[in-house]
Amino acid sequence: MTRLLTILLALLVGASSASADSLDERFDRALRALDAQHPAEAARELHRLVGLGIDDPDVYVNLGIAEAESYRYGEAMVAFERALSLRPSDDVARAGLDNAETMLARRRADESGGTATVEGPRTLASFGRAFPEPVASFGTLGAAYAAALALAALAFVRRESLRLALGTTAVVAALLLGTFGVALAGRARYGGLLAPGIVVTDEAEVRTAPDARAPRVATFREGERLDVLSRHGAFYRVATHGRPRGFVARRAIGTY
Amino acid sequence: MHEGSKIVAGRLHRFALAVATLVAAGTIGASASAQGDEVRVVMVASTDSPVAGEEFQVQVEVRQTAGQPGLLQEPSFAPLRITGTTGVRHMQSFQQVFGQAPVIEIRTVVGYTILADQPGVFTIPPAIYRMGRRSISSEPLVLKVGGTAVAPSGAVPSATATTAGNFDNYAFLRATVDRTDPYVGQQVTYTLYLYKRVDGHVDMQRQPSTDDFWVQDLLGPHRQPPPELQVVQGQRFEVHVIRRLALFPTRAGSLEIGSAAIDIDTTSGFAIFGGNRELLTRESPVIRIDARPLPAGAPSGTIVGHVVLDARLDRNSAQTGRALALTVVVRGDGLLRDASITPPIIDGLRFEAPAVQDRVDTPNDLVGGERSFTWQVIPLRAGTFTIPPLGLSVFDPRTARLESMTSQALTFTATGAAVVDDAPVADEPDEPEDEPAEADNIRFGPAARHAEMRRRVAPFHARAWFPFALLGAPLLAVLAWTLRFTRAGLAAMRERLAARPSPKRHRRDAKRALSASDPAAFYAAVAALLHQALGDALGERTIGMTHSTLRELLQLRGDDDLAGRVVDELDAADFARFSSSGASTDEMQRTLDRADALVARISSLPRAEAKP
Repeated sequence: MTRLLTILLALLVGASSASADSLDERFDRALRALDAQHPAEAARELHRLVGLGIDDPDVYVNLGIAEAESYRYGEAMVAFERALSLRPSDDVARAGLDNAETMLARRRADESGGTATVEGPRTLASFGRAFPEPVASFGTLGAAYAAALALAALAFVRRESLRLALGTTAVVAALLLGTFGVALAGRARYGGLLAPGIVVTDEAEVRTAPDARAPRVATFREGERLDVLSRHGAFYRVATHGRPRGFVARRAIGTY
Repeated sequence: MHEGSKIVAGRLHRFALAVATLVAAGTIGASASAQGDEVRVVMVASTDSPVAGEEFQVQVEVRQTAGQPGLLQEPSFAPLRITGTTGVRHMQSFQQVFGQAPVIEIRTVVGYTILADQPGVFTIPPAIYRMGRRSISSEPLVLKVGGTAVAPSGAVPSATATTAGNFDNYAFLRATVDRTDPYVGQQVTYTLYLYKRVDGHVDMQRQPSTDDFWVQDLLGPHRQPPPELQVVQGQRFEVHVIRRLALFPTRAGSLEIGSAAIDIDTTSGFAIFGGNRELLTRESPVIRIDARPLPAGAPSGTIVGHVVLDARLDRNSAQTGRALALTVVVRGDGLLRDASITPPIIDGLRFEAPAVQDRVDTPNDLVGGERSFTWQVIPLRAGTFTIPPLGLSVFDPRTARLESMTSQALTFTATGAAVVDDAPVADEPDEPEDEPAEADNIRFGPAARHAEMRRRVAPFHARAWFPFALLGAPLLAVLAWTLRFTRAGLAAMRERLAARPSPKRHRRDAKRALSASDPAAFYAAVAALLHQALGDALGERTIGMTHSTLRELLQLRGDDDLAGRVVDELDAADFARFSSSGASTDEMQRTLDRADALVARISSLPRAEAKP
């Protein structure tokens, strides 16, 4: 019995170590491909890593670079947004996102004969992205409990100086709660929003129903931002400013 | 029945009155509307006898009431010349009588400053005002110009070989190039102008095709030059530069810059109330370029233009196996993205693939800038190494001479043990799907060299416990304050209960005093018991009342016997409180029994409302 357990344990350890090696190897392979100016190959490797459940900001940064160097700026924007979502202070991801947007705007301007800009993310989403998720979550909890404890203590404390201190604490904690709460709301995508999305194909047609034969009501272009409201089979129901709501094929949208 | 008929008649009367009022209002409205369709177009000159060489004014005025605003078609003044225009459109709204819908009057006045170069009689054709399908014309204007002929003046776009435009009275596109016989790789500056005399939204429908050129846009979003005014064939136009491109021929031969097309939407803003869309479509002419080949012997990657090379090393000494950075910068004008420099092969040195950076500048619409190549140079053995001058072939189109530009030679020293050259074999880079030219001056990266390979985990706020944990905070505060209020409430209730006098409590006190053989306390409790019972029965406090008043109150209740007994008992209690004879336990017990009997009788009295 002991022998059997030992074998099983060894197998488990071996498997986990093999898996870790495999992930690192994939990352290194992607890095080498990037260095050798094979961005498409690098992007493929990094997409595989993401498919294996890796949710690492460095992986997303490199994926964004690989996609941008393959001139798939919509995909690059999604990757950089994911990196920023995990690590808001990542300068490379931020610069990459700006550059990808600039490149798309230029491309659009060239195609349309005028100037074009790419709309930035909504204010709430931007604010939500300013804090890492654990900071927003535990900040909200901490501020809520600090405010609640201060208020609770106020119910029993009679000393005036202590009451003043507790009142100040409650106000400060309430302000922090508001800040973290709004950030969390931005991240948690309240209001029926499934996720913010970016168009990753040249064009994405908005249809009246989740059916490729349904009438088309609008067309999004690569890099345009939209709100994904719900999922309907191979389609997302989406909304954005100034456009009718409708259904867009999921393969045309990258969410973050 | 008679009353009912009157009511019905009254209602009919009022209905008829309302119908009459509506009909009248409709008639007045229709009349106003009929009048509103009138449009008057008048064209007048500031003088009946203008003189050649002297400017005079011609004014076209359109007055329109109601209807949609139209478009004034300017008359042709040729051979007279327009040297200036002024235009104004007033919209005025005024209320009709009887509170009808407001009527809008539109008054458009366009003034032309006209110059005649020669005397004669000239007839200006009518000015036409178009309102959808309707056209309203002014009278033609006959001008008798006196004086003597003067030399004509005024800028008209030249019809040179590098300029092409299809003149139109309202709007046209004109395309120019600064040269038509460039060398391959030499810049040709293409400019597309829009001449227009109408207002409206301009939409680029087709870009000029530039298939055989490498293109650099010279007008960024913030470099749109302001429009200028130009008089062309006697008409004054607003001139907009809508495209300016630096084109570099990629092959020799006859090349073509295709036609551009625009739409000008002149539909009035009032078209939202209905009406036709008015769209002007204009195309630019095709321009042909005859690109000349570079002289025979020009190597691939030859730059057409003027450049200088600068080379530098980041340091003069290095350990073997440690890389130095060799940077060569090509600076000047021309299409520098074509520049390519091959590093020398030097025994004992390994050159990594270069990092290339481009900066494109377009001062005075001349494309230039710099391209830098940075190699990581790794010495594989100790020694002093000299990197020879690195060269680049440059063709000067002005002198038509091919020359070689070189950088200076660089020397550095390597120390340490020899290392093995283990460079990986470089393979071919990916072919980009569709490389945009603008990608050159934007760089992504640097790539992360290491990743922690974090796994995807559910965010904290999405975990099941999070809402409950968050809800705990307000619950905590609510609980604390509830507890506080509950405690305060219980204490207050206890206080109230403790403060409220009760016969039972007084009797209990009396019994306690009896047991303790405390006559003073006993009789005080008995008196309090009786007063409490009296207070409850009479609805007012009896403590402090004189016994005669108390007697009267009880007598008023119709029980003289009770009145006498109560007063006697209270008197006796007062006396006994200060007398030792009252201290007998039996007597106290009897007093308590009597008091109980009296309380029972008092309680049976009808209750009075409590007085404050």
